[in-house]
Amino acid sequence: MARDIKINTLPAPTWTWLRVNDVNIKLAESFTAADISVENAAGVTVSENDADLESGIRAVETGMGSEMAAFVDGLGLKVKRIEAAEGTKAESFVSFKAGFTDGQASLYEVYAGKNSELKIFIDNYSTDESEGSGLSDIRFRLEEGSKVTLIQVFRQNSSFDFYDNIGADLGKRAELRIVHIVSGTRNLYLGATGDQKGDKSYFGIDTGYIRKASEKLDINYVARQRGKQTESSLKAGGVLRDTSYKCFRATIDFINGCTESKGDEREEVLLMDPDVVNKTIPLILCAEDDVEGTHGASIGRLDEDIIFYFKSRGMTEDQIMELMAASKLINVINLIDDENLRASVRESLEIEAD
Amino acid sequence: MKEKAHVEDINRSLYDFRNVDTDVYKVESGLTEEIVRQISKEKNDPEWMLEHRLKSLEIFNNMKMSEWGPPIDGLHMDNIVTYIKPKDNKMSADWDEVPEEIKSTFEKLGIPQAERESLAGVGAQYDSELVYHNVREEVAAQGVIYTDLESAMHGERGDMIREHFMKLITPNDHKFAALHGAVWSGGSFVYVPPGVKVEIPLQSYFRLNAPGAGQFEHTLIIVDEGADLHFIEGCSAPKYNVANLHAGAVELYVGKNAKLRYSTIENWSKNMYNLNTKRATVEEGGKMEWVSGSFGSHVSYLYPMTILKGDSSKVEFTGITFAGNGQNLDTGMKVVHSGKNTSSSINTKSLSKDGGISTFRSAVVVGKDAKGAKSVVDCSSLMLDNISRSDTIPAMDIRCDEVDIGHEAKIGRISDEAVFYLMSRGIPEEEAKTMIVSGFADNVSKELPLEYAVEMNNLIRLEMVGSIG
Repeated sequence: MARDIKINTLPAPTWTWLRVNDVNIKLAESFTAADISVENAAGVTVSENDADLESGIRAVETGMGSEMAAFVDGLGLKVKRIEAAEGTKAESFVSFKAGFTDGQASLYEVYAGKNSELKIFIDNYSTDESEGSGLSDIRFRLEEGSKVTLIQVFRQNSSFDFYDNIGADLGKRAELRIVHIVSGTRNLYLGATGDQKGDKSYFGIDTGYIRKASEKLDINYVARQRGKQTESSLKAGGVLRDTSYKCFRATIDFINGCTESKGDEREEVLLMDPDVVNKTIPLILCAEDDVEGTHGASIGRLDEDIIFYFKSRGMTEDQIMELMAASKLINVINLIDDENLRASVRESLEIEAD
Repeated sequence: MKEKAHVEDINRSLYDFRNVDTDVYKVESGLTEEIVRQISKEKNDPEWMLEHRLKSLEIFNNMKMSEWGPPIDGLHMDNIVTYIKPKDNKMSADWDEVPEEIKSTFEKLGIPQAERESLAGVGAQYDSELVYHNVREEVAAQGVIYTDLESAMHGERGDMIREHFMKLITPNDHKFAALHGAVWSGGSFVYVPPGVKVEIPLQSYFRLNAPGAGQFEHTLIIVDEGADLHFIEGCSAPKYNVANLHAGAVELYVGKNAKLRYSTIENWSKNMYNLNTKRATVEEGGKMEWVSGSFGSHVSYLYPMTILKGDSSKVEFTGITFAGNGQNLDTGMKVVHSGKNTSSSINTKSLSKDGGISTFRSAVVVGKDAKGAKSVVDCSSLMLDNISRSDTIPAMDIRCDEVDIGHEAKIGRISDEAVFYLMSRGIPEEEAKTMIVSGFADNVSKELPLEYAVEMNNLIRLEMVGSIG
């Protein structure tokens, strides 16, 4: 039996004929837990628990929307709880290796205590070459002054579909930085919402992707800026090859009262083959005058001058395209402030070091 | 807390005069097959047009409302009179033959004066019918046709009208295109022969006088190969407590290497539901220019669309929207790149004040075969207070790799530094803010003929200037 679920809904719908307002997916009714190994960091507690129905973390708005959140909650699976106590400054990453086969899910709840610092790395991969689908759901509660970095790699096999759903509740001066590195998976759906209730909170996402063959990437990132002096940054950069498809929805929502807040959306897309499909929908919703909102998008093929430059250095056009594609991932890999982890990610993605 | 200057709402008395209709012919309010047949009979439609109207009515009745855009709950078709005209209405080419009250209306609006001083031709529509239509002799001598659409439909250009009428905007496009197809009345037909450059603009002005009425004019313009035309459209209505509806349609055909500029200053009253549809198709080497100022209406849905069909065709869109108290203005544009080496350049500004809601909505679509397409979109929004709203909802759908597409948007308030700079030069705060807003709207005003730029700047000034609280 399959369940029909609507995900990645645009906060303000547009013309129906563009087919970007949302996505309808089918998911199996039940999922089992994915195989997850943990390399913990000093000062951070990782445990496996029932979902927390008391603190309100399950009610956090998620990027894929309420239908998906309710579906996940209904799976009845255990949750990996990651906690950094008040004042903890974790020096290294908590690393999860999440191996998926068909019908598996990984659920996380992240609690960052007041003035804590926490770094999380999740490597999502396939444990076999079989076709299938899997999902991941991460809910965050960031208390005052906490800083959390989340790095996720998506490198499942080319017959595998994956759904990654994130929701975060940010307190005063809390900061959540997310890096998404997409180099695998057949059809990948990413949804993330940051609810910036706290003044001076920061919510930022950097996504680098390569899509080839008939792979698909569908994204919905939302920054709900409620507190004063909040900042958001929603960025994506990538390459589309062959007959791949990408839809990038980014929304900065300046809610009345969020005075002196700033939000920025950026996208750069390299189109490398004639049959690719690119959709970009960068929204700014504004109910407050004392804000600064900006967005910029640049979509096209590689500049002829750059191609000429590399050809004159002896590279073939194919090699140039591969280099450009890799550079989009390297840009986001370099945001990982851990040299060993950077090297490990490059190795897993078969990208040479600079 | 930063101080803000208090500004009053616009003084619209210039436009807010009304004539009491005592001697009019009108259909019953609402929308039925009988009413559509009545309108068709009144207009002496050919059989194909009656069939078109009835088919459109069927589509309207079966089509759902869109699930996006501002609410139009206050619009009840049962209360809208879709056709109203002075009882002995006869369109004339001489202002002296126009009924005095109607003539006086257009004189107050400056239309006859503008015609004398700076226009090649004028069409003036009052409620559902044209009351005046004229074109200068020397322009007509070039072979330019500028007449009311209904005369053209019955005349020697009848086949041309039938070939083009509601082929760009079809009744299936959306519910109010279907409504238009059923009850359209009035509007102009323009044909510019190959190679002819019309040196000074043609203008149509639409005045909706009756309360609770709808205006559904249809404008059809064909600019043939190598020709060049500037067409200006203006509109206004007095304000009533009941809803008025404007669901007009504009279809523009720009031929090979031709150029058409279509300028609009929209100043409907704040009880108006402005659900207008405008679409252009551009052949090889042709150029379409839109200049659009939206200041009026209670609710607007307005997205001029351009199809760049021919290779090397271009479109430029320059627009400004000013949403004040009681207004929800959803405006923008759509462009489809279909031919090779096409280009589009979009530059829009929007302002929101006093609880107004302004939404910029756009779509840039590049088809599979549109190699060499270039598009630049730049939209800026200025919020003048924290009780208003400004949303930007752009979309790009690109299906070809050999393209160069750029999009930029920004939103914010009037810069404190800019205001301080002007005040330090002795300019009072209110005037400084007015100057900044006028400068913000400069992208549109510099594209208009001087008289219309002045009108637009006056509208902006009226919105901005008021007592300091």
